[in-house]
Amino acid sequence: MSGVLHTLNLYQKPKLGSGFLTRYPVFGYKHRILAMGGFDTASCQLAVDRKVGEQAIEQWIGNRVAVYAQNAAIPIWEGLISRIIWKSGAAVFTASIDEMFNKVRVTYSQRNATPNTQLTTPVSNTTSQGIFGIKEGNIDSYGNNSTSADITAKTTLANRYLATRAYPKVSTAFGSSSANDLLSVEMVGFYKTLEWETLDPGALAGAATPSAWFGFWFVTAGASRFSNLATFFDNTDQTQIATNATFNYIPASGQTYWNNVIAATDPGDGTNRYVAAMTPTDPNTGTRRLYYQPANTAVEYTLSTRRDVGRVRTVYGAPVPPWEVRPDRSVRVMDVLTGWNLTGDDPREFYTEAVNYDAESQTVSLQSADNIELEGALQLDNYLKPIGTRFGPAPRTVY
Amino acid sequence: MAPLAEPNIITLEIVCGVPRAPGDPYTNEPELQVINLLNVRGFAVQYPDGWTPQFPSMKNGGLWADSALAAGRQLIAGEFGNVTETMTLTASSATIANRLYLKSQLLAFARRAKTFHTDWNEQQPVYLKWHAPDAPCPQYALIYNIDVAEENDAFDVQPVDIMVITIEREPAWRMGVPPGGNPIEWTYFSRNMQRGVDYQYDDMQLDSTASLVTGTANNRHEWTYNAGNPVVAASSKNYVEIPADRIPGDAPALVCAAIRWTGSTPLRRLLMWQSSKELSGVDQIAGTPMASGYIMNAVDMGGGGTPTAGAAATGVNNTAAGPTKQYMGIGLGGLGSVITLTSGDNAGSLNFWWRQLARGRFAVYVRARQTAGAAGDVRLKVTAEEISGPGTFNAAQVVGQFVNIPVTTNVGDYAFVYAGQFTVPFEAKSHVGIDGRGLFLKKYVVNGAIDFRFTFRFENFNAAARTVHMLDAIIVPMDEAFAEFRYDTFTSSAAEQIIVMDNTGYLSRGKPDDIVMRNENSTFNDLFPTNTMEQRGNMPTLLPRTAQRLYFLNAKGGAGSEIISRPNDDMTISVNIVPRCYGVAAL
Repeated sequence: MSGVLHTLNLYQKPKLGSGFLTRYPVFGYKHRILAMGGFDTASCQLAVDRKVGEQAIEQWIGNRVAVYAQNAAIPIWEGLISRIIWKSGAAVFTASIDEMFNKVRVTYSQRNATPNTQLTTPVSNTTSQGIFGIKEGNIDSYGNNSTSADITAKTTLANRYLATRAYPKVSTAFGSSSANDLLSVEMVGFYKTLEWETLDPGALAGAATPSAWFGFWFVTAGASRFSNLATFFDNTDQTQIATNATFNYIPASGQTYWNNVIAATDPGDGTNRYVAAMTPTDPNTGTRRLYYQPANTAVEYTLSTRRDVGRVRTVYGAPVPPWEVRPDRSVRVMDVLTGWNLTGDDPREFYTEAVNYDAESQTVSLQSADNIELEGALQLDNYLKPIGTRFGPAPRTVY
Repeated sequence: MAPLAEPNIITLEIVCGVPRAPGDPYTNEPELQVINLLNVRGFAVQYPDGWTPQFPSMKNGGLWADSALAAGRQLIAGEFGNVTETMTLTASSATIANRLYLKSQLLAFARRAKTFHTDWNEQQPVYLKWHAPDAPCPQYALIYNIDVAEENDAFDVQPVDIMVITIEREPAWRMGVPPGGNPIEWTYFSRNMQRGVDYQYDDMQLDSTASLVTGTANNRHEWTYNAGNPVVAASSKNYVEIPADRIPGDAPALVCAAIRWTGSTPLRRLLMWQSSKELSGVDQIAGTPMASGYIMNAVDMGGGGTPTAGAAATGVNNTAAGPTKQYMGIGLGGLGSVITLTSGDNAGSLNFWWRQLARGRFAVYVRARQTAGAAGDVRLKVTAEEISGPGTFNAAQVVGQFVNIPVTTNVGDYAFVYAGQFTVPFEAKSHVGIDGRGLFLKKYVVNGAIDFRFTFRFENFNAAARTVHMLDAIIVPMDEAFAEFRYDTFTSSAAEQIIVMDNTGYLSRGKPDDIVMRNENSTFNDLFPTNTMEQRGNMPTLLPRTAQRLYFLNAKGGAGSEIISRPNDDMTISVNIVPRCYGVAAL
């Protein structure tokens, strides 16, 4: 028969090495891949016994995972485990890295300081950092009109957060037992780790081209610099950072590195869209790299509304396995508006911003800029979010 | 030799445990526990209402693409689900105490069947054993669940109890070897060898030379030069052939493959893939044979021995006079210098490929090395082209991405470079010609045009000149099975290692799972336990009654932390199987 078993390979946490641990077939597997970012999120369930369920809650948060299907050389998705949900009878245990912070600082405003927006010296739990890598929390605190800042109070606040959030948090709930109690695993892509650190522009002043910033931000170690370095990707590998000298960019203080990557990428080169994302692990080098390059607008996929509905095909007509469909390329619908040739965007073609794959139904949805899902409505992939007729957050001030 | 049909044995049992190796004086396996379901003084499944064996069906009816706008519907995916067998048992023991004991034992087996799959402590599988009338061998199926329903009133004093048991079992029956059993027992059965008489516990090694299929897999594939024409004869090959008559049954057979490896450094990477596609055909122009393989090289690598350079990149290496040559030396100038190698080009530097023979979905690897500089100085891009005319080629094209060529320390140590994946032919599963003759395979060569080719573009991204040694290009078909096995966690100076890849359930105590294990120093292979390796992708199952091949390629530790592949690192392969069937076993 034609099914292709999907399996999840579990590895150590990247900070502790990349040693292989074990492998499981996955159930209910879904993934999402973005043109801007790469592997975004994935989820699945594993059929494990109680012993493994307990081990997962205790040890798997932050571990590296890779999901394989047909091609043993390249995973269809990879990233880190961000959340484990384990149902044991009527009890549901959830462990997650989402609310963990092992480096905390406070942002506050002070009338008589220059600049007005100040950051406290961060406090760290180096033991947690040695296990999970650095994951920063930034507390937006209140400002004051005094000439002297209440640094002690703010540092104490940061220390309190650190003390209670330096490790993955666990919560429990109780409900009715289900006949299908599997271990649920939620995963995030490696690019999300660029949201774990806040860029401190104090160490990097002035303006530079976007291409130059990628080197400044990630390659050089030092105080107030990018600190996760080579933990999650090869920070020194700049071979896929394209040259774009069409404008100068000034980093946003107090924003994450990823927000700054988005901000530097958004303008493109004034004509062409640019994207930035994390590559899959290179089977030749065993490393990942960050890339910044013009978006690939070439039509590489075709769809049909009447023949083999729902299947993505190449431009030559060969089916593309749904688990291998990727964003950052254009799609053409072949059997509508045949012969169309008016001005404006061709309605038969669209650039794929995001791909959602569901293994159980073997379906894949391709989303363009008109993303009708929640992430699209909230415009989470854009740095500047204008108020429009659709629901969206209020505009933010870039500072 | 076909095994003798067993004497007219009929068996129906529920068994718990893994059979002991015959004659083993110090076994740690407990005795098998058995419930006989054909015992008229115990339990009996009695005709005509006892049991009608079921066949598996597609889970949930399969996965279909359906639309009101399109006629019919398309099957997307479908796997067989577990089978539910329903048996009516008559317990007719003379004493009530005996009947109660039998029922209690049945319920105990039901509990153990479930806990084998759910709890770590239970390591004995529970399975159904059935030897049908006139069947050549018993057949077994792992049990997932047993439900028992009593048909009699609790106060019924009749000496006969009737129960209905519902058994959920795996979709296919295993022929001759129970779950957790050693697959080499099927090999001995197929040779009419009797357990305990013709073979004993010390004949049961998974890498035994008595295995069903044994052979040497070279770490290369070379061809005998054919005067510039399409090659037809392999002089070395990286696969073992599984003849069709070695795989009986009607369901895909499970596989246990063992590799014995001799090397000074440990094996770090093993690629394994399966193909049942034809490797040769007939030229429809002249009727002459044509062959193709999954490794493309300059035909003759000199037996994989001393690594010496072939002629210049575009020169001809595949001559009868070139037995000492191995790699193609590619000398690049400074920044921007480009050299391309093309399969089946006019100079004949690399052997030909055709769409019909080299068809499938492929992961493309190149074994190459950069002699100096840093990885990424020279990058490789692979392009696949389908050609429909001579001269200025009319080509449909798929272009891969640039990948870095690693630097290795020693000549003859090549890195495995993954160069992307491609589908051939571009449009459909097979290449059918518009000449109306069905599958298309013609040797027409004009100006090097041949109906399909790969181009390997080497480009220097460094100011300094660079040299690349290219050994070969490997297309790995992943549409049947493709797995990679890795071992990175230690260093070893062992002279020999054994790696076993098993999905028969022997290494997993009967659980359907892929397991790969390795140990070192075959002198002690039966004295030391094994360590697990990482597996990526899925192990193959063998198509029944179909000739196919299992392919292997390896890479090992090189200088420092390098992982390199050498063409002369051969492997000894031993393959055993557990054939399977959906109905009654038939040879």
